[in-house]
Amino acid sequence: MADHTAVPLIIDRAHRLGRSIIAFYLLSGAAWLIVSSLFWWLNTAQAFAPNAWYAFAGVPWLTYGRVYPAFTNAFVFGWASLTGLGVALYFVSRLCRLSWRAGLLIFIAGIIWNLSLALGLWHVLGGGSTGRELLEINPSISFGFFLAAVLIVTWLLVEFWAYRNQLRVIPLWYLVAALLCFVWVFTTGQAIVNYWHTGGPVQPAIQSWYVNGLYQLWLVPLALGAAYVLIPEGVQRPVASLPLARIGFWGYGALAVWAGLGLFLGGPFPAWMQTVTIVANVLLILPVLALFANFHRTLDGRYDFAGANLPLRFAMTGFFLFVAATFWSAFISFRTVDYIFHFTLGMAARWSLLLAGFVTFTLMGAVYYAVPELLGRRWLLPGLLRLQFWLAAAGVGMLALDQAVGGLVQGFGLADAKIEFSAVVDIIRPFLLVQVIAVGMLFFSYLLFGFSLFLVLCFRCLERVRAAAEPVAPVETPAEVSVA
Amino acid sequence: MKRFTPYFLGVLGFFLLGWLGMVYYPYMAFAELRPDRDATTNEVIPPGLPGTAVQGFRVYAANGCVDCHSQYVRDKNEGSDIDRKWGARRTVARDYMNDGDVFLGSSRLGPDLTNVGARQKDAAWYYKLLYSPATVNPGSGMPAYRWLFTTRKIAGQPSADALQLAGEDAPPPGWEVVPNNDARELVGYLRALNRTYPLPEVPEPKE
Amino acid sequence: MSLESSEPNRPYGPEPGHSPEAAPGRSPLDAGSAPVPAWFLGVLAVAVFWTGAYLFTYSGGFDSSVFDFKPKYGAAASGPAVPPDPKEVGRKLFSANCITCHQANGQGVAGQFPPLAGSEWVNSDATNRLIAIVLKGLQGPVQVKGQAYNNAMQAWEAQYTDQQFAAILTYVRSDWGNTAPPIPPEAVKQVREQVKDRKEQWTMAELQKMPAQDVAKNAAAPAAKPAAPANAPAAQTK
Repeated sequence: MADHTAVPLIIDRAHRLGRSIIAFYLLSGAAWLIVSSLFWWLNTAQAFAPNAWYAFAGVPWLTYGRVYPAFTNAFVFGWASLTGLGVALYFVSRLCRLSWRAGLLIFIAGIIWNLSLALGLWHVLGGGSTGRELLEINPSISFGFFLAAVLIVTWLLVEFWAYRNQLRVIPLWYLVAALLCFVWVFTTGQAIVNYWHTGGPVQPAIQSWYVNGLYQLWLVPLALGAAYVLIPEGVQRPVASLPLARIGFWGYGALAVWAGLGLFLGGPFPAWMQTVTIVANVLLILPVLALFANFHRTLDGRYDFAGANLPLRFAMTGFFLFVAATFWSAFISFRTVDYIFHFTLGMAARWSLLLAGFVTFTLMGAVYYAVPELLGRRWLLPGLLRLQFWLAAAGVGMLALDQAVGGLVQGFGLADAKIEFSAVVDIIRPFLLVQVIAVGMLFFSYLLFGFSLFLVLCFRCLERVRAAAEPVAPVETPAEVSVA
Repeated sequence: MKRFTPYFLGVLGFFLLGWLGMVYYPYMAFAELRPDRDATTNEVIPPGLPGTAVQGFRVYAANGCVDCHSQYVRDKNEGSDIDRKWGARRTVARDYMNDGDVFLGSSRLGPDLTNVGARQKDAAWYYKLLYSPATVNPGSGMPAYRWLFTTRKIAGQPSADALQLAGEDAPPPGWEVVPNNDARELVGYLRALNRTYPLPEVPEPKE
Repeated sequence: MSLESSEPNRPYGPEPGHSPEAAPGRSPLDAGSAPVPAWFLGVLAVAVFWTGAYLFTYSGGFDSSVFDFKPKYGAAASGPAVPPDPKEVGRKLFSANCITCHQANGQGVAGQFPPLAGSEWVNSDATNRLIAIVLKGLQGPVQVKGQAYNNAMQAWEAQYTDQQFAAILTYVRSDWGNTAPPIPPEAVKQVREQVKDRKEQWTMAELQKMPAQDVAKNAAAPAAKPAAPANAPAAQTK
């Protein structure tokens, strides 16, 4: 079995505090992954059979409408954000001359983030949801995310300006941009929609912009930054083209911020806003093609390296899913296609490909890459890791395909006004069932992921305990030579 | 790209451009929406929701109704909503200008609710739907929301708004199911969802 | 594989003297300088062209009051509004005051308030008399549909505008089985002018002496009428 540990990027002297903090982010992220995917699995079961015993129909805090926000918020703010932060911190601190003097601050930020999420989800399940996607957590609680993010970003900016660090390598462009954008996107969305509680049509406009900003300007750049480390590292070749990388980065940044209103196409917004969003969604194909061309040249045919190198495998699969997500997004943006697909499962396919697919796979790859160095231990049970990969890949593939086809069927049903709505609900039931199966596979895959992490952590702790318990070697004196 | 400052300004610049176009400008433009007063009937168009309905926002949000129901009607060339009689015309920005919470929704596992108050006027129908969706719409994907109701012993006469239930949903003899405050507020909100008034900027489409 | 540091406060970074800048290409993270492929530039050119075309065709002139991306309602997508159906408007106005006496079903109250459904006063071509009644009121004995009534109807001229009267009367003349033609606001205006000096309510005798004039037909302004109310009600969802 090939070595799953990474070749160190630069010879570095690890700082114990930094390692521990990053490990804390990654581990809490993994824990939230399991929690959110459990909610997700329950949610798909409820969609399929709302009044079955396993749908907990009589339990108010487990009703569909509360479990769904619990799942999305835990996934985005728990798994994706925390792991993304850990990965970003890891790569940024390894690629730059950052000091961990303010490490305690980062640790506190992580604690605040976790606490806010836990408290927020409890409140949502208890009936305090605000009803707006990814803004469901009560604003007084989600302020914790803002606080934590400000702490981290301030630290980062100080480090960059004070120590005149440079963005020498491509991954840094994305990781730093992600951290900067997050604060602004989050603040705008929460302030306008939740704090000032602005009513009227501006509310959904900003809300869709905010959701898109979280996905495309926070999570996707984090994952792209990680991909830009994992893929070149995996094949030990430099990234092929700097000009292409620049086009990819700036093109993506210029376009992604306009692409949010796709969530509410056909809605009560001026025609120009909707057209601009459609154009942005379609044009996003270009930077993604640039990235794809770049990676393809970098790999230079060495796709088989993914067989041995697990982080590379995750990163490559993730990137293919990203390309698929971008094309799908562009496809369903066209008004003629949107006529069919809007409001259907087809829109969830975009989420599945982008978040459960690209972001999750790439971040997992990064975790597989980083943890051996952070915890000083290689992964145990490599077979388990391979199984985890295949389960996740099959799960996402099945899910995306099912949602795309299901969306098509549902869409044609909805588009024909002569078909009763209840008939449409009947038609899509098999697709809802496949969803349950696919998400179940994902849940088990994530369980394995968490379990592997847990094993590594346990063994690491055991080693430390053992090291601490070893008797101190007696001092050698000429008179007392002890045979070790 | 080596130096941080130009990079930072570049990222800021592109982001700011999008923020100005998709956040700032709509915020300003929508703030200028004004209602009309109908010359003939003297009504304010669009009318706001009655006060009791506004409390319904909270219940609608808390139970995540927006995750399955949408609340906007698309134009004929963008969707089949008008053909499905979910509205006589598309909804535009002014239809929502008086709503403190706008639940446009992006999923139709359940039907659109923009004009549900115009389609169903009977509160008892809503209560029954919330208590037992399967009896009102067989095969429905909607879960039951029984915690919005109280089952209690009939004290003297049955209450006026006790639900008429049959079969296995019916309470034991001598007991009745009545809606809680949450159910009342929610149903008040749903019954007020009615955007069939005409707006000058949206002529109703002819066939 | 122990990575314990003996100097906990040293930052990450290369060993002194081993700066990555000194040896470009040493690390896989350094980027090469392969040029942008020609096919990509081609796709870019097509995309720019498409963007311009799409953006300027479907944005409604970048006007925030335009919602329809394919304007089909006539000049300047926020075009002239179709006025609301006068029958519907009339029904709303009728429901404010008139139903108190004449009832929602137009049947009135036997012996007290005359019906409007099937009433010869409502349906006759002498629309000036009908308008005069609502403007100035009616008192004393009156015969409607063979029944005698003796009550007082107040003058309503100060309460409603011409448009509102026109809407109410159009509604009254087209509901409950009545099928009389609508009454335009101009007709109301004309009659209001004619009777403006009158101070008291009419009596039946005075009304019958009034020369019959179909002011509705005469004053009917051509075409641009709130079009065929016959079509609109069907489209109106309740």
